[in-house]
Amino acid sequence: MFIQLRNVTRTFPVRHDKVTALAEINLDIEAGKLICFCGPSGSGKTTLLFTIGGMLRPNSGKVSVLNRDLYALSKSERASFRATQIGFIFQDFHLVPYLTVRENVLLPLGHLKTSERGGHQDCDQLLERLGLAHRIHHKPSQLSAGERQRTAIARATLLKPPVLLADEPTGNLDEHSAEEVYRVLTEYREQGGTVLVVTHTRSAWTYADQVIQLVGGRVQVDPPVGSGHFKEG
Amino acid sequence: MRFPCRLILKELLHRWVGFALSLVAATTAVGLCVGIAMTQAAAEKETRRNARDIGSNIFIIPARCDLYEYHQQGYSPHAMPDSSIDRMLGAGKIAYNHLIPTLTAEIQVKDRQARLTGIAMARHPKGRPSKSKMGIVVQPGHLHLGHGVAALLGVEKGEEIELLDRRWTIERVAPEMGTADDITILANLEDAQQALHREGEISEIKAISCVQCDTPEDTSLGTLRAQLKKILPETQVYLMKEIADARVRQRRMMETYSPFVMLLLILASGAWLGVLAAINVRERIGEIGLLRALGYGGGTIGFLILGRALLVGLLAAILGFAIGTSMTLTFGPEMFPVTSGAIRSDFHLLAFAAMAAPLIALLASFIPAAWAIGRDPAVTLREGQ
Repeated sequence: MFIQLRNVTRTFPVRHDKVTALAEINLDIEAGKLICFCGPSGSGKTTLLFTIGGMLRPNSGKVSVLNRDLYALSKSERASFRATQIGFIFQDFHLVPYLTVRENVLLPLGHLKTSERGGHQDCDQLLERLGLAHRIHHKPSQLSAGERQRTAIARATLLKPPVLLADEPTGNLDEHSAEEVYRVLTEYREQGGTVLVVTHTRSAWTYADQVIQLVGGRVQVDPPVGSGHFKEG
Repeated sequence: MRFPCRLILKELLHRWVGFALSLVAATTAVGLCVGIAMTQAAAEKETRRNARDIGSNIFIIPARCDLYEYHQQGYSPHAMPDSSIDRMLGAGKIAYNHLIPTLTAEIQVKDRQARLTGIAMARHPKGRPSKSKMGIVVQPGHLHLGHGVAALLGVEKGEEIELLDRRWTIERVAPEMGTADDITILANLEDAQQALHREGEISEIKAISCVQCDTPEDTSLGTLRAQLKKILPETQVYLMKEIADARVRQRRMMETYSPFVMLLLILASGAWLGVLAAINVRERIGEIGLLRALGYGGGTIGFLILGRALLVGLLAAILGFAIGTSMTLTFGPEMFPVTSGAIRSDFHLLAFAAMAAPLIALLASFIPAAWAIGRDPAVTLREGQ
């Protein structure tokens, strides 16, 4: 299985108590799918995405991506794995304010050795495909929200990682820009990438191969109304 | 240029206010430390000079000179051989320094009695060279006239006079002191011995007690007397306590005051830099989270934070040295008029600042850097939202 979670639990301490964000999650995700995670706020969607992305160690359980037990890796091995195998897209873009569009897109290459950069896309062509050719020397503050998110997508896909994780990628966008983002994500899936999207937007489900609903840190057995199918491991 | 270095520079330009504040903090600290170090060196010279002006703190006179006689006349009317000083210096380790032999006698100047003192250059025990010129030096054939004597003779500096059947050039006329110095004529010791027909004689040795420099307790006089009894039993030694205590106070003030101020400055600027580094890391938390998400390792993130601190420290060292030096050269002479010429730039301080300032900046930024690196990237990212 491409991505596999077994009994994954993650809690967060809150004063003298703790909140369970993920409770005994079991999931199997096949390669080349576009999966939407939905659910109410605080249901654990983003925590799940970060855990799959190797950015948040679970309290217990096992997370495998591309047959690698992520949290059995050392911090630096996990960072290396993230650098080349996983791309991230965030709701608020997380663009570096003092870098230009081009420099932001090239950011994933900044710490890689030449041998590790193999097969990355040409930055300028990528930006052209995303309609940002005229913006390459602009700073993020000079871009519209849609352009910022497309810049973030370009950055996430530059190295063509097999897994693309998107946390509310259209949360700050208008309808047209949101459709554009999903068009790009669908294309990425069609080129063989696996795309996991956390979203509140029902319209996004139409692009998904699978919709997984989380409630209270658990995967719901019944799929949400209007979605395709879901699969619990 | 390597990518992380470019990131550091771009970030500095973007958050220039924080960078400028850090630079001002570090530059101020370096500048003040350089200024203090330079003025301390000058102040030490001034202290030595003040100490010289304060004068010797002990006097050695022939044993047969009665103390009443000495103070009533203002000098010893009895003599001892000038070889006494060689015996003292040859005795090995002694608690005396800056030994100045003098010969004093009363002479007739016009219709008044003045005092002629022959004085030689200060001499020092072996292995204890003088850090500065000490004592008054009168060139052979020249005289230093007290204010009253010059007025009595109606002469000025550079004029020639005849005295004790010899011709002398006036090398200096002292300002009015209000003491016996006003009626004193200073000559070179050998000239005075010849003019007074007392070759090979001295009446007094003025000196500085080394024991007294370190321990102001009265027991030090016992040490001095015990040493002198072995070397020159035909002499006696007295301590001028008021002068001795003034010397000790001068030295101790300089020794304790400057390091304390420097330490305070370093601690204050270190704390300031630390706070500014922590604010910078808080401001960049989203960016740090993103870089971690993109796979940047802790080493690279640390380099971005500590490299910035290193740059601040290096720039502050150069700017602080330049500003501190120029300010001290400009305003130092007003603070230390006596040794204003001794205030000089010291490039050793630049080398020291170039090592110390980056190190302090690195230490101050280390905790915020470790904090940013040590957490899960997701936690860092969430805080940055």
